[in-house]
Amino acid sequence: MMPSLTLPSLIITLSLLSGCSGPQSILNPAGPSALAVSRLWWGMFGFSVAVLLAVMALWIYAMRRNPRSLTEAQADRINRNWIIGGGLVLPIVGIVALLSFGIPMGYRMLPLPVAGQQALRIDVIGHQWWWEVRYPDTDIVLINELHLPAGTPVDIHVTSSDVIHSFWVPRLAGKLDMVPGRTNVLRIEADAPGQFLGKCAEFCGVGHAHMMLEIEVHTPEDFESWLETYEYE
Amino acid sequence: MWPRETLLYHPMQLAFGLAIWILWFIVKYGALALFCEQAPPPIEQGAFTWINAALMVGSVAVTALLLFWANNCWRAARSGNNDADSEINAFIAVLGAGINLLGAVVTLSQGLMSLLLPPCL
Amino acid sequence: MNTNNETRKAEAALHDEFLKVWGNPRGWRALTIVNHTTVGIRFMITGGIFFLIGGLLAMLMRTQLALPEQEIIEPKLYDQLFTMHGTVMMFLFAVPVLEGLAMYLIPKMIGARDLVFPRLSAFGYWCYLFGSLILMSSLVLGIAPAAGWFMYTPLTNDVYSPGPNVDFWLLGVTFIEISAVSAGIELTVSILRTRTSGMALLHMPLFCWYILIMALMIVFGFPPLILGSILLELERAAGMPFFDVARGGDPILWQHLFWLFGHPEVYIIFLPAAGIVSTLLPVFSRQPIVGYRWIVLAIISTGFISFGLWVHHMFTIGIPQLAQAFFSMASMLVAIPTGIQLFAWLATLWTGRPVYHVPMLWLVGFLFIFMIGGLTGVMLALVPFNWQVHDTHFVVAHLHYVMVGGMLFPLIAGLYYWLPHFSGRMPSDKLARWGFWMTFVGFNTTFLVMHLTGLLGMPRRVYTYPAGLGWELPNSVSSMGGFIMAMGISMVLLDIVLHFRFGRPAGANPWQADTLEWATDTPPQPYNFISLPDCPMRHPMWDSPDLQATIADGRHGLSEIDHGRRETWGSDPVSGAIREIIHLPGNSWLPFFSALALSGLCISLLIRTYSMALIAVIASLVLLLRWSWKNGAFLEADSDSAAKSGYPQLHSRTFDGPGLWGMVVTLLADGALFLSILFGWLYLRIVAPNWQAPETVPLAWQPLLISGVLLTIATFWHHFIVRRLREGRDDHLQGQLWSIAVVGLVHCGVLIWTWSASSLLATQTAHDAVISVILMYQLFHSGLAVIMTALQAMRVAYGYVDKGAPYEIAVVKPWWLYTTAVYWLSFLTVILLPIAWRSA
Repeated sequence: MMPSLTLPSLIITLSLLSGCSGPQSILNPAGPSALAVSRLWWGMFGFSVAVLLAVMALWIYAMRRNPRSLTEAQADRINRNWIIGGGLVLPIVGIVALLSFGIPMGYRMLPLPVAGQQALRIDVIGHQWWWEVRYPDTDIVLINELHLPAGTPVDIHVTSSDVIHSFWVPRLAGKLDMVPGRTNVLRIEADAPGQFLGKCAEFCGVGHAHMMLEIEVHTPEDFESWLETYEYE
Repeated sequence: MWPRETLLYHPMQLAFGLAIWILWFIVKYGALALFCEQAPPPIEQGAFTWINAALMVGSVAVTALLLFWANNCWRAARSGNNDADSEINAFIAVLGAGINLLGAVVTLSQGLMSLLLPPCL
Repeated sequence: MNTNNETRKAEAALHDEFLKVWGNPRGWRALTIVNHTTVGIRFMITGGIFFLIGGLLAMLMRTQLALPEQEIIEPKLYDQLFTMHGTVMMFLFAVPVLEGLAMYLIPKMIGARDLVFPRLSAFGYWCYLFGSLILMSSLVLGIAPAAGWFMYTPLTNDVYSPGPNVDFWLLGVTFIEISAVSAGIELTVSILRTRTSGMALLHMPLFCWYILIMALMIVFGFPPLILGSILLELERAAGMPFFDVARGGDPILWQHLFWLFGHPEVYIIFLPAAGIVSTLLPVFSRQPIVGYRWIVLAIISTGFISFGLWVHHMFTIGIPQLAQAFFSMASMLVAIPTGIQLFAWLATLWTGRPVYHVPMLWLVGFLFIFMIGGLTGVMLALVPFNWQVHDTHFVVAHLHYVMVGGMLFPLIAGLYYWLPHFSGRMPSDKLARWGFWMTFVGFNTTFLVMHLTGLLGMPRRVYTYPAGLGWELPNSVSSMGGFIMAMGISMVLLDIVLHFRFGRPAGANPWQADTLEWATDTPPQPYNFISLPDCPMRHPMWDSPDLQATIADGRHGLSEIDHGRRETWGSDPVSGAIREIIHLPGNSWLPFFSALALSGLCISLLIRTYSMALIAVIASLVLLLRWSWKNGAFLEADSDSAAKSGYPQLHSRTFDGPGLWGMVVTLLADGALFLSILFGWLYLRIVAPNWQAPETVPLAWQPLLISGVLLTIATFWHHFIVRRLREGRDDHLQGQLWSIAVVGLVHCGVLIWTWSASSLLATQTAHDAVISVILMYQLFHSGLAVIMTALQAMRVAYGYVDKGAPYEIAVVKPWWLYTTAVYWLSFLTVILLPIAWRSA
């Protein structure tokens, strides 16, 4: 009876997946970090579905099968195989596989020194309930908008002036909390020019739902000229 | 002095291996935080810093200790007589072996992480 | 025929005799009941009501989120709803219901007549009830906490959350946690010390292992949050800056303390539920559980490992990735014990001959839902993936799969399974199936899609969302599913209510179960068993099916009742060999009024009326001392009626009674609290961004040294007295106890003087604030040691305590030792360590 009901829900889910391309969607990456995570997700999703279906099938078969009578020794052996196979081998293999992808990936997302160039630094300060964006070495201060060059690694230095917020542009990279008294550094990079949406991800009070950030990614040349004109104004 | 067997059959064995792991975890986490605060090594060194090395060596030592105890417990569980007490003893010693072994697995697998990642980034 | 009639008559007579001693009063005096069956049921019913309230809050939220940009519920209210939904489900439903079930079942499963500290069970219930009512009253008044159930600072400090909202949470939840910790202590000691004759550790039903580990996890896991709540309340009410960056505190400290509790909490909820699965599956598979020792191994390791992965809730706060990797690894390794259990259950089904009843349906539902929750849990443990989906609806979906799958489904399976035990009647088959399928389908419709909502980038805790981001469809599907699930739950409820009236009588042991709780009457009598059987086996009801009859006949141990005492066996924690007879206290008003006095304290702190708080403190102290006075060597337990020949002595005649165990387990919880303080001290010292330490330690070390020496003298003296009592010598006992109390009092005096002469400014820096907390903690313990010792001296004067009944003095001894250990440890870290640090 089970699979007959899980199937419709799976179908619903899969049909919804066709709409993964939302402007906030993790599954619609536009930068190297987000791309890596979305690939990771699809891999883990496939593996998990396989494990889930296999275990459910085994369980239901175990409930329905008509066991032949076993000697105690035979039963013991079967039981031990199940426990060692499913309880030890399966999780350990899964964990090793997962980490061999996950650790290097996490490493690459760190704000490591970039060979041959200096990562661009932008400071973002969280307020209840708006974003203050500063470009060091210039006088530029923006509110609720962020301009970036495409194809260049950018280090976003985040902090907060009041409560904890979290800086998050799902299509570019993971999130990083903005904690008063500390400065955290998030490495992001956008592949191509375009417009993106950022959202405060840590609950920060009544205005939390509306704390949005608009991101405009320019080509590096456009970005330079934007910097200059903005500063000039 | 307590005879060795009494220790291996002591119900404390049900908690010992993983308690050692927790203690080592606290030491490791605390030491890492302290050193990253006081004297962070340069980022360029990656995972090849002496604090990583120290954490790895410590993890291997704790793992070895736990494996040694697991082995002792296991053998103690096998060597029981057949009186009523030894059923209980064997139960505790087998579980003790399992807990020590699991403690070793967790310690080592956490320790291996310090081969892969820079300490303070 | 005749003999049969006569046995029945004798049985009935014995039952009446037992009821005279054990019976529950009616009317107002029902508030005095301490019996574990009644208290357990009260816990479960109260928790069930809060489950419905929590569900109602969820329905309101789902209504608001069903469509984008709705304005049905304004953000201020919505924030209260999600905060209270989480809080109610975690603190007011999940933990209390499972504790209630454990309280109801444990004594019956281990062949005892009651829990070991019956008045503490009742006290725990009243604390839970009053605390919950205080917390819920805030919702009615429209001033409910609105900062999330995780209460992150600085959002919860007095600047960003003025008004009493957060105080309701901090005080109410702490009050409820007292109840949880007392249940944890009580269950631990009961399982270890009151098993029936011959039930060694390896014979315990697996459910008892699960509850034992859960209870110990409560003992170690709740104190960090209790401490965190106290510190935050001190910051809010008294201005002591533990979490304020500007004055040397750190908001991240709160997160550590919260999740140090918060993650074990998940397993505190999961373990008893898994215990239900491990109890039911073998019964319905008609064979013993496969891999008993594997499962015990899995339970213990789950308990430990769950304390080593709290940081996976904090992967996005900017902790170095190597440190994150440690926690990531530990989080994934929890899959091993979980996998062991899953496959042990599978193997039990595989080699068994399963039969189908309604509880099995819920178990299959559990497996499916919990598997999904577990698999997404492993994903979330992976740091890079976590950075993306943390604080999105993906996590909301995950945690509901874990909680509903890992707790609610097994709980309902257990509810159906033990329903005949509660009521003596069977549930209906048809309605039960409808209830299951509606709940199951509704749940999956709500939450399976919600994974996608999260992946599409919808964050948690937003009261509304703009259209055009692709979130509309999944949200309306989730809302629809929520209402289907609500209907399913109401069907289950209806089924349960109807069964009390229409269910067919269950008869004895209707599921052919193996454990001792089915040897009681159904519904059970307050005394559980007329006589306590030997039980050196795992499946007593399978090995001797006539056990129920022989127990009711009084053919086993401890069936005498003419002395009028409530008695149960006290046994060896490992082998289960009988050590003593535990004399249990009867019904009492003290638990009710103590809890009432404490809730008075809670309310007066809430409205910041400190004179009233003082009165409440004094009232509670008087009541609690009165409680301890009516303890130990009961007046009724005069020595000549001590025990039948061949029986061991009463526990008040021993040095190692349950009270000592209770004291030691309490001190474990206390120790966890103290270690959390030390953690806070060292943490702030190492990582707080603006840590400010003065040039010199602001306390004079010489008087502190003197004070410590005095404390040590008192402790050694007390130790010496206990040793002499063991040797059977009690001369000058009273005078010595008075002297110890005086030495302790002088120690307190010196400590208070040193404090008042110091330059500590608790509201200026976190440094001084933490030291002040340590001093308060020390004074509380030293003061209580003095009071307890003085009380013992008075009891010696009254003749309740002497070499014949030395039990109570032995109970106080660990308190002295602990107080001294804490003193020197604090001295080391507060006075000596900074000196060493500075000179280094």
